Amino acid sequence: MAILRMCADPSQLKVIRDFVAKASRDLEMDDWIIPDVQLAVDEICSNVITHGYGGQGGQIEVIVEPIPDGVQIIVRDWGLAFDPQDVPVPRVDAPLELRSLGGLGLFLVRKLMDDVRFEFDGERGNSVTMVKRFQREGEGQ
Amino acid sequence: MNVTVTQADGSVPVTILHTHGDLDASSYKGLIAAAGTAFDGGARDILLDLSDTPYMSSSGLVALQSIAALARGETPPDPGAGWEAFHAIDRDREGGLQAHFKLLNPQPRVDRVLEMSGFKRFLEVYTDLEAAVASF
Repeated sequence: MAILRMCADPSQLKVIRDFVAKASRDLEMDDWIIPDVQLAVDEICSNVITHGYGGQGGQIEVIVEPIPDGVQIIVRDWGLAFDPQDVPVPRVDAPLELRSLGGLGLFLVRKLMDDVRFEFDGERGNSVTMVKRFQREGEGQ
Repeated sequence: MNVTVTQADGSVPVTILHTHGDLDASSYKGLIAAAGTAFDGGARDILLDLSDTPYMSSSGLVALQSIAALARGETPPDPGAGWEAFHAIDRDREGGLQAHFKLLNPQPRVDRVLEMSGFKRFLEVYTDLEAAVASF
């Protein structure tokens, strides 16, 4: 298991992505998985920085740990909770003039990861738990 | 990330924005600002050269949508005003392929984000600079 705790600042996103890549390689993940995991973690951390902390800093924790059939990543923060159900599903088939952008980050996370779970706790903090399984979709069937 | 700007002449003058480095939540406002400065300087047809940008998150898509609005002659939503600004986009209009904003050489990870988000359906993507400039 690898843990990183950082200041919730956009300038740290590259550091977080590099941490995720190194932790993934240390777990001997297949190379094809790493960009997906990096992007998903970036999107969640960007949401935390922008919305959870409103750009005012705070702490953000990223945990990368192996599970039997893949990898689990937990992003934890102590900022404002939000309800992912409030984020509208983006219209990715609509022309750019006719669509809003809110929710594209979460949309990408849900596309990239096999399981995404949000938990909000006033004392223990907020967490997003994401799972990426090593088997590609359609394999082993 | 930083942005450099060059000019090319096709059937119309084309302003080329070259991004260098990752396009994420730390850098997308810089790209929007660079495009705004170019537009204020008279740029009306904009090509975004992504050759030197290996990574883009959804924040980069915010920048692309803002530049597309700028190139249509609209005032792009203020990213500093929060996501709500984007929710206010007028839906009561027609939309389609962007005539005055196009992309050059998106790298594989960037291209995948463009594909997943549906942006490639509405932004022309070129791999050849001359062909891109001539397309405006």
